[in-house]
Amino acid sequence: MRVSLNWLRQYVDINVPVEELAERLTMAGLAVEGIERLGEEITKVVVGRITEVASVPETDKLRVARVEVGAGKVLTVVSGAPNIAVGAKVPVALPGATLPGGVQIVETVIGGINSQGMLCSEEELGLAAESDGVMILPADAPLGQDIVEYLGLRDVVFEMDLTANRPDCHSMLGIAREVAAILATEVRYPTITYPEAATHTTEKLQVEVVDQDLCPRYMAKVITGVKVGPSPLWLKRYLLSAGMRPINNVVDITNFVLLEQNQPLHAFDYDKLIGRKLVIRRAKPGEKIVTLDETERVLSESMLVIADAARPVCIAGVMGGANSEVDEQTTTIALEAAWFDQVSIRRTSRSLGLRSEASARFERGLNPENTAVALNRAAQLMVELCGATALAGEIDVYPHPEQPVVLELSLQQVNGLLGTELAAAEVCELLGRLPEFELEQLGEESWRVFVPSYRRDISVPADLIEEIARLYGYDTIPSTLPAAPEVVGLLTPAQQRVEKVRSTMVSAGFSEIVTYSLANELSYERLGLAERLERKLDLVVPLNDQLRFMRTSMLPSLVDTLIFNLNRGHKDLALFEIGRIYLANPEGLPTEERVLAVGMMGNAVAQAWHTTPRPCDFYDLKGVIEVVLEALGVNDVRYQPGGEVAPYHPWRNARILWSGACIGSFGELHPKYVKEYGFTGPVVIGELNLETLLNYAPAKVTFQKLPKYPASRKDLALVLDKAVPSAEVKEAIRELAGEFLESVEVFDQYEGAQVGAGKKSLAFSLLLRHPERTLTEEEISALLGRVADGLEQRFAAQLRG
Amino acid sequence: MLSKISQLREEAMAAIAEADSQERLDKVRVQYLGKKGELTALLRGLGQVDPQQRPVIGQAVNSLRADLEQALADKGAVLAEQEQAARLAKEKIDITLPGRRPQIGTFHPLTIVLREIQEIFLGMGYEVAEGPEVETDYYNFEALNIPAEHPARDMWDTLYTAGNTLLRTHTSPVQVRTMERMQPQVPIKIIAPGRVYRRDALDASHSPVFNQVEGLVVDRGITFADLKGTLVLFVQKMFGKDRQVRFRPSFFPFTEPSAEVDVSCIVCNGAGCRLCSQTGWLEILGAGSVHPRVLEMSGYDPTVYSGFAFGLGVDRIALLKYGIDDIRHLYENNWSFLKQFRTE
Repeated sequence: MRVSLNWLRQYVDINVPVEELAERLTMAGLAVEGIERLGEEITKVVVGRITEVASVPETDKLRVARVEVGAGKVLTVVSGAPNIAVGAKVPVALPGATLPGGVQIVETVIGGINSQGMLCSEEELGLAAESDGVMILPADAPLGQDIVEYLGLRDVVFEMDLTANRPDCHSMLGIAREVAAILATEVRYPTITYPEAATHTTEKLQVEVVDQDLCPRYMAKVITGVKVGPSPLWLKRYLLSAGMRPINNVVDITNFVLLEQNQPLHAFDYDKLIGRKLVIRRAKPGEKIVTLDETERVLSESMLVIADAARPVCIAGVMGGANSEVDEQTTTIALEAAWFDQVSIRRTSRSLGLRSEASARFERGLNPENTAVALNRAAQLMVELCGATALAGEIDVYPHPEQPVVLELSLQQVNGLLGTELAAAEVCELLGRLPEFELEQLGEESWRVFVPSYRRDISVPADLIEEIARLYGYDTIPSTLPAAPEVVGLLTPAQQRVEKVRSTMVSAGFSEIVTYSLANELSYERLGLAERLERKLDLVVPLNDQLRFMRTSMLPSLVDTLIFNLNRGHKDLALFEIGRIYLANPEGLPTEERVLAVGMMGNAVAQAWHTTPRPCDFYDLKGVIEVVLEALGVNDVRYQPGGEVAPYHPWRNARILWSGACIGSFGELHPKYVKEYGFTGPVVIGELNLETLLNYAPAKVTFQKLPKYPASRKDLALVLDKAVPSAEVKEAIRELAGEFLESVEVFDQYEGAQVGAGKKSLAFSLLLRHPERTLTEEEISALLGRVADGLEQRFAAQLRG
Repeated sequence: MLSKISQLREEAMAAIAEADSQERLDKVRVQYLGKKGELTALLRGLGQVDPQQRPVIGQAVNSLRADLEQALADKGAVLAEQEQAARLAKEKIDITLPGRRPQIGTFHPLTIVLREIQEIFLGMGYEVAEGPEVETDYYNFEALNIPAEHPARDMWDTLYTAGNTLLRTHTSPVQVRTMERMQPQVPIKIIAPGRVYRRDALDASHSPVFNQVEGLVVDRGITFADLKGTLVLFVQKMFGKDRQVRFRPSFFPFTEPSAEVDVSCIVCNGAGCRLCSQTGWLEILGAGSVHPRVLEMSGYDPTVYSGFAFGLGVDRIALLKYGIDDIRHLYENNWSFLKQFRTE
């Protein structure tokens, strides 16, 4: 909303500097986002009088004029304008003058003649979008006067950012009411009086409101003898300051009233209305209308139209029809001021993709009690500016008037909500500043408040308290802290576990990424994850080709991030993300699950002066997953070969099993995807579903007495079939060794000529300890013999030298 | 005889002093104290000495022997130390070579900022609540006093999902879910961080996915002044004690009165610069007293209870805090970007 202060001053006195007013409006909730100063761009342009005109030899259109510019000074100016004539008063830009848009005027030779300035058009002065000649000033314009002074072009315009609860402020009177409240002064409403003809509007026009639900109030008035023509300068200037283009006096008046009163009006060419009748009804299915923007619109039954006896002539509250448009031949006008259902206008405007200044206002919500004022204000201006005659009275269809809002408010409520210590008199004073609000004393410290119809946003006492607070000043309200009982803020155990996973990953050398939770099919198909699309939750209207549904896997965006970095020269990376996946359900909300995604590419150990590089592999990822699970106190996890499953290498991936469920998978990226994506080295990725892990409560740590007796470390090297998984052997050792085995770990693995084809060697290190004494050599060798025999039986494992 | 002893002493002491290695010193030891050594020979010759003089000479020889042993030991210690020093000198390394660093990752700046915000509120006794990102119209709008077709809905350009659900446009639905869960208990003191979604084209300052932190306090006697005090404390902890905080009236359907909270610009300190569009202020929070209808819908009687709520953008704070000029950096995860936060 653009607000001209010259215009605003018509309705309210402003006795503070511009900057202060802007600040105070902002701090009262009407943010002034910008201050524009008009007229400053125009310098050295004065009122001149043409005394001689001659054609410029050897040119078609150019003429040379002698122009008096005051103080006896006469200039020679060349002009191409068709309308220059001796005796005309015109704006003259002197040499050195500046015009809007940064134009500079200098003395220059045109058509062989030295031109000492320029005769200005309205367009050149920024007063019209286009002009076809110089601006002709009234004959009484004082010679030599600065044009900015003479035309009153100096103005300040506030660019305001208004909140959705204040549709009333999208108007000059709305802002004037606010200014009056802030400055504790009065609003001057325009006086509306004009002569009316003897003939009554009802004799000339019939209005029938068929669909009252969509049109609770409809008013119309007929104006005759209209002379369509240009508007006076002041009107044009006001419209331009608000960012509107002047068109002709009739259209300009409706726009002026729209801006002044916040009430859209529509003017029909009365003579084009078939049957001299306006019918407000829903459109018939498939009914068509060509709107003022020369576009044919197909209407539906949910849309409200204004029709004449035969056809729609206007889409109610949105845009008029070309078939009833006011043009230069128009002499009689049917003027409409209505209150349409805001939801209906919103829907119609949406489905037609057609928004207008009027529809925007109806959508925001208008004051139903203001239609009469607006209609009469327009009639008055048409009488004054278009030489028109207003027929008597008006048509007003308003069968169910809105009830005014009346609220009860107590001082205790005000101070209780705000935390202030306002006195009753202060509350009265603050509310009393709001124009048209009426207060009735109930008790000493309570009131009945009658809310005026222009404030339809006020419906509960808290709304009144906000009015008091913003006029009192938010900055004046004290700052305190809630007097709540002492409570301790703690993360829940699950939240703490998420943070533990995050910190563990970072300590393990992985860096955190954050990717979009919206995805596209292609990035899943590229990784062979089409199956994961089955439970995707689609956006009804995708954001774009890339962002189409809620992700069901964390892997695609992880792989995309790796390749994005590789393409920017980052070859060795270890990344992770903790985020959600979203699995659609047949009904209701999707299941949202927290997932840890982990990925590495390139070298796990970088080349350095002390070491050779080592590419990342399966075991790097397994190691970090083990560390994370250990940090979560989860120790009974099993890893199972995943087999042929995308996007992994079929022989280098694993499923993670825990308490009977698969909680994740990881592995080396299948070489075909490595190639397709253009990775230059190995890539390992994986996902761990955190949901059950986060809610699992591991056994509490309790102190174990430190061992008193030394342990014996014994190594066991075995040769066995290559296919035997080491974890099974380890499990067997644990079982065979019995209670004195403290721990067992694989410390070497070998395949090759020394052990023969199809075989491998595994070396385990066993830590044996008796809690109450030292184990004897006999006991130890008996135990090891038992283990070796058992392993031979189960796996045909041979002890190695 | 005595003169011979004294001559031997001189010779031996000189030889010890001259010895410049353990090897030489050993030779000196053998030469004088060995089985065939000169002092040993002298002792052996003692038998032929006049018995009268024998005790005197014997004492002189023994004293010389003791002195030589001491001198050999002293010199031996000196030489050992010198030799060790020489050996260590050969083990000299270039201590300017980089160390063997364990690899350590970095936290994402959004996590860093969120943890900082969380710390502040945990310290003030708040708990952290969570809620779904895919929401129903009821929780995202209706229960927040934004009925269907209300023009205020235009404040959020919503992404709708199949099955009559939507992507939450703010973290405010967690207010409602928390009140429903807690009702009728008080006090409620929570913050709710999380992802939110809007139909925004991705550019330097907009992202369709971003992060907010919601705050909600409900109890008896909670005032707008309490909201002010809480947020001033937060802003000063987050942005520094010298920050000015400004509360401006604004509008949110679920709070009344509502406020925008501005902080004095962290770059120009209020003088006006590009970051703050010459206003001197940065808008960082939306807040207000919980609207009575919202309390009522969630089961709290607004004549008994009151509360305040606020919401802030984590992405925006991260951009401001680190001077990041493009929100896209947060979601692209370029290593050149991520590694800058190692020290945070």
